[in-house]
Amino acid sequence: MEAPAQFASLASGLAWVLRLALLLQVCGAAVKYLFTQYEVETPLFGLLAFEWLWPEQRVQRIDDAAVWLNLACGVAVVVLALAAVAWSGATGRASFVQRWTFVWQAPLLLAPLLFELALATASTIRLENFQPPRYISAGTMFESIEAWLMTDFVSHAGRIALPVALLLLTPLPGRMQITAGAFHAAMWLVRIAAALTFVAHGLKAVYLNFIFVDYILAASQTLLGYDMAQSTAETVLRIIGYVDLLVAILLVAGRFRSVAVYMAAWGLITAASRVVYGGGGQYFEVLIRAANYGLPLVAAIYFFWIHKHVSSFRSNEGENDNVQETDEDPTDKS
Amino acid sequence: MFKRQTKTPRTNRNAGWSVATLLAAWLAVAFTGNPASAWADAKLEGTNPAQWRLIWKENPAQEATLGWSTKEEGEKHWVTLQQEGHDEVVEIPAARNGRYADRHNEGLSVHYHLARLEDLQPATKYHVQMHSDGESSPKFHFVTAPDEDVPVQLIYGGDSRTDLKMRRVVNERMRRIFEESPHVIAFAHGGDYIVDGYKLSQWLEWMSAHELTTTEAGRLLPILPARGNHDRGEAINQVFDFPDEDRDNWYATDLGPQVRWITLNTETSAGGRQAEFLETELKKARPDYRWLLVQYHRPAWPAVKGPSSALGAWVPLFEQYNVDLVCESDGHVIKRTVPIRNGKVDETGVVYVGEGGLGVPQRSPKSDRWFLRPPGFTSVGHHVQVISFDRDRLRCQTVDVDGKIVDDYAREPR
Repeated sequence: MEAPAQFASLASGLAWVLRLALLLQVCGAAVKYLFTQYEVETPLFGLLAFEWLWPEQRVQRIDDAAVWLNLACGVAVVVLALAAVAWSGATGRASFVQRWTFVWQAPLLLAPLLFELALATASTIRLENFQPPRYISAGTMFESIEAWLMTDFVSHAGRIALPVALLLLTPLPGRMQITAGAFHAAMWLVRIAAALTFVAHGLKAVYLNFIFVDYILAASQTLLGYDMAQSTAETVLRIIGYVDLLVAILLVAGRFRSVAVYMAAWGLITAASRVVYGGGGQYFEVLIRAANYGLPLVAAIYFFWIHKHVSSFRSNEGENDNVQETDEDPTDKS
Repeated sequence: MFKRQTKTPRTNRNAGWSVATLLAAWLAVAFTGNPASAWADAKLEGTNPAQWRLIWKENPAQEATLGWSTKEEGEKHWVTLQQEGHDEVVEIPAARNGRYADRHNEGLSVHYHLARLEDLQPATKYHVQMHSDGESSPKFHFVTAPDEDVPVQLIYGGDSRTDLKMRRVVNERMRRIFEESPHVIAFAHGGDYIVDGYKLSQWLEWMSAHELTTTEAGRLLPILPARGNHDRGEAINQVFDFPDEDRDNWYATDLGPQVRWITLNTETSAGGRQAEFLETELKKARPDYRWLLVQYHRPAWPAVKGPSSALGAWVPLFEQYNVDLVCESDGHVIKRTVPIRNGKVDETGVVYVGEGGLGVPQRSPKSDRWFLRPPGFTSVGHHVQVISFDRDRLRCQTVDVDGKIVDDYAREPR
């Protein structure tokens, strides 16, 4: 069943936020892996060259091709969508490209999805993920789940989910609106992926991932001119980690606008901490983490929209305007 | 004193084994062109001491740790130590015994034993033998670091983690350098010994291969270990006698009264306590030592990857205190940078060498990076750096597995 027309603009707006985040993400990856002074290779390179011992030149071509494809598809998604809107604005009717957005967008979105999955797989196989410095002679179930939660599959859950959420917010071929089911699936995916990203980073913080400690020390020195003791930085980091875990739970548990706004802001701040630490040349680290703040932003917009519309519905019905944040989603009425 | 032995159990010396040993040695020479180490691949069975390594940390003129492995736990583990020219034989019990961590549950049960040798005399030859219950290792010897201003050499290398065959070839090369260069006193490993630091089977392979560095005459090559990004878990602490829960793994070593060698750890916070340690150490050492060097794993000035946290946290200190040479690993290439200060070429700056080639697939260096362009140097191939310290010159020669010098850098004291 299609969502009511009044929700179409919300879905469309959220899709544009996701497209923008995708554009930043693929551009960030391209800069990091192709264009900077310290152009480096993706974890995929390491897997193919060092674990599978493929010839270096071939692996380099595969690695570069993957980054270029990721960039081209991400840019194409935005450019084609912009072109469709421009055509529609000029002619007053939906273009062919607009009506068939799902059809051309789906294969284009497959590239960034597979790119992120490949990188997460490679880094996991190569043990590039942070693991807690705890020494347990026999692995326990808890430890393995915990270790799993700190792989790039979870750390990068936002990046991985981003193209899927965007596709869910795209009307099926021949339709101009998405279904209510697709909309809710997209919103749940956004919330869960953003939450997982915070869970992974929260766990790494609780376990004092050393690079996070260095970020805090550098930020303290650079922004505040204060030489923070490492023990203080570690305490701060643990608190940050627990807060990350808490807000991750809250994002899924309810529609708390303040939580979503906090997560969007914190996602941006932590992405920017890479620049504070490594200098302006590291700007691509902010871009590549667009999903970390983009998905919570989508959730925040969604929560505010619900709040506003529930309030207005109730006002219209003569009910109290003081609506709780976890009130019923009006899109459910569709 | 030192009899030639290969894989023969030490307790079963008979004529048959001697013939087999000679045959094995002949085969090794015939097919490799180089005699295999007499000491490689000691059997890891029962309480037979195997996988020996002599570890140096802060004060190698007077202290060392001798580590070995046994298959069975055993009850009594000790070292007999005899100073050259003295009759007295001292028994030193292993200070630390335990079972190596087997985080991947590979079903391996192997035990480590670490005997700390203290109150040694500088520049002195000691004969040592490891004992576990009724089994004994062959007799070895080692020489402590000097306390006088004499020429010394150090072998540096990193990244021995993937190619087991090449790891052994490079170890053989190190042994030959050790045998042929009378001033070589130790080997500094820049980290990434194995692929997965949690896998005990890989540590066992590494330790067995390390036996190849022992000279034909039975002289142990002391190791100065650094931690790499693949060396996770506690096994590295058990192999090299770091405290169990240690994540720091940084220390400074006197390689004589004029050479200070600082080992850092890029796998923990580079700022904070470690930067404080480094600054304190450099401040104290710079006025007193002619040569000041640093080693760590992930490079500040990388030949293939992005810079590590060393760039922001340590490089300013290197430049402030005029470190003479910095040894880095991780990139799997050969590199020597131009002298760098304030992010620019500067004749007064700091030179960075290394990038790792002790048995790992080599990559193509990104030679177009400004700090690697001539007179900087890049190349590809398994290698070690042989660093020589004299009164008037520090020389760093990069030697490939064939013994060819592929790069030769020298500098005068600051």
